[in-house]
Amino acid sequence: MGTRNLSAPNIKDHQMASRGFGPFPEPVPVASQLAVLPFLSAVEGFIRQDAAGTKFRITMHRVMTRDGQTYLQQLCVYLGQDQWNGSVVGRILPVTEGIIGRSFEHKKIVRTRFYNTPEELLVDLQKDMDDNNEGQRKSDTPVSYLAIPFLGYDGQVVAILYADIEHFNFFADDQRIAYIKAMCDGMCRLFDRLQENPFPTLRNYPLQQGEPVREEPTGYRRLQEPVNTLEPPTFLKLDSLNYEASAA
Amino acid sequence: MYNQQVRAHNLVWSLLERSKADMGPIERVAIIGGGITGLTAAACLLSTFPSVSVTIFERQWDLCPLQQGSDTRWLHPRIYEWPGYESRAPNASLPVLNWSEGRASDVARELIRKFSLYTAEYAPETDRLRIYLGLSHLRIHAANRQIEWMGRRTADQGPFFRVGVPEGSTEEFDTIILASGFGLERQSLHAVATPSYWRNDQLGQPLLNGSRQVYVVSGYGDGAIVDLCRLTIERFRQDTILYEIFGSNLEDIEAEFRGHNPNRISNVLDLLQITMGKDLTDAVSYLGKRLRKDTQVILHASGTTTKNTALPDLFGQTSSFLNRFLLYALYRCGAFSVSFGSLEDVIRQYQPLLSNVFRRHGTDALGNVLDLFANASSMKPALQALQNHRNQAPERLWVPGTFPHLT
Repeated sequence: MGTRNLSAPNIKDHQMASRGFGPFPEPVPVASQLAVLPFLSAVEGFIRQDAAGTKFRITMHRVMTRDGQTYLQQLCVYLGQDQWNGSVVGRILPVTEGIIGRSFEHKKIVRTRFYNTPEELLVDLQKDMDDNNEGQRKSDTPVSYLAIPFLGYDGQVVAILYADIEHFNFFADDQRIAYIKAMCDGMCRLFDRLQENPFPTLRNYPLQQGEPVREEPTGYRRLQEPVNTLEPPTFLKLDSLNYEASAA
Repeated sequence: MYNQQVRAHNLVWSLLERSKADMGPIERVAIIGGGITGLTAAACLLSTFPSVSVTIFERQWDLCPLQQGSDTRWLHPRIYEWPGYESRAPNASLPVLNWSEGRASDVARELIRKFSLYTAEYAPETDRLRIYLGLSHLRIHAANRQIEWMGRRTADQGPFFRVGVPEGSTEEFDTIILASGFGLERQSLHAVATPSYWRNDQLGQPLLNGSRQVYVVSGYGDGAIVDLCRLTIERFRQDTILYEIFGSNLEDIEAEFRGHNPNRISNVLDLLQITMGKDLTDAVSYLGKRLRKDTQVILHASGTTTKNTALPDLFGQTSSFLNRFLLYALYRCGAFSVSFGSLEDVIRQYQPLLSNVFRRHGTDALGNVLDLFANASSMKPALQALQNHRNQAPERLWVPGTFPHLT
């Protein structure tokens, strides 16, 4: 992390100035993971029926605040993969990270736009990757991305569904996005109901709003576009996603 | 406990930053205290400094000795920050030695188990970690960071530790971390000798002989008020009382309290009585239906220096806002009597069984720490200043992702 002036009067300023985070995830309550996994598995099943044999991943990130600083945190494993990789759960990311960062900033569904040919897409993809110093595209680099923000009752971003796939123009299909968005709406309705009628030992504990931690945005600006024809799914009763199981 | 663990994380993170800035070696670290804080600091160090060696010194015969077997005390990571955000969340959400609310005995057992995961991962079969238990002597020479001690070194068997033969030594360390905690409660030579707060008792259980007994709780900090609640409220549970009192209005009331920032107010009686008075009427009424029928409780609240003389004196920053709220609600219910005289006068007047008198006067934390030093008089001003300013806020300052967490 480099040399720091540790006599700086405000250690939080010092912390904010550091680029990047440590290599380890921070804890995520298992109840929060379980709250979203069944929903994601349903979306995974929906995607799979049109993408049999194609590699894809789907997960959820939540907006997490810790002592006044707001990050994105991966809420659960990636579904869609053969392996169950728990080591990614709890990864902390700045709010400017990739397509989820663009979705966070604009509070809109963001997806890879339609391309007439794969070659045109790959040119733009490589240019976007070059902008981020990501090196050469690999053969299994996804070519279609999706980020759907879930908004809270105050219009703030609560969580972001993320998906990527090695299928050309997969998320450029408006109908498919509309179906997935409808599923997200269903999840919002359920969680609103649960907020009104919570299980006694399974509750959502509100997180405080904080100052977003930003770094250089790494979204693919050529490849990705906001979807202006669909409003993001919105919770009417939640402003954060932090389910935990209690003893009583 | 949570606050202490956060400080342990912050401290090790700052040591990490220091080492990266070449501000001195972190190679031989001594940790005084084998409680939860000491274990947290040790696990943080072992998992982030690949070549550090850590030595833990613990006076008692096991790690986390206070909380082990403590079945009548409930631990919650942040409930004393109520009504702050996440204060009711059951999980501590700490990367190292994380835990969820529960009986102190269960929390201690789980933390020691997790500590053994760190020792297995980061200090297997090496001299990276030494633990000394049953210390009969320990003195710190601050000027040259030397520690002299007599105790028994352990050999760990997973989460359990067998002790070897006694030994004594003097060694130098580049870093000494004081994690000796608050210590045990002050005991006087008074006839009333109250067992430690962490020892099991029956205060929360109804009497089974049909009698109604007199109890005296001496003190007005968190420990005393918790025992007051256990003695006055039927089926009192620290983890559920807020849900029971406020029901579906809890989050609204919480938000309203938060707006007043009650943990920063020097005396909250006006806030409770006047500002929020009407909002708390239902809560008080509810609590009034839950008062125990088998106890008569006197709160002896004059304080160790007999400075308190009236009820408002009890609502300063000597306890958490949660407990001051409960104290207020119980006062409004007429759930207890209060006395500001001497403890002897209270006992003489109310004639409780001496086993029903509980002194919750806290510990002499500063004295316990000073006892560790060979040159206590020269250490006292600095430690006194630290205690007076209490600037150790439990904010999580470490950069996210600094520490690995093992489950």
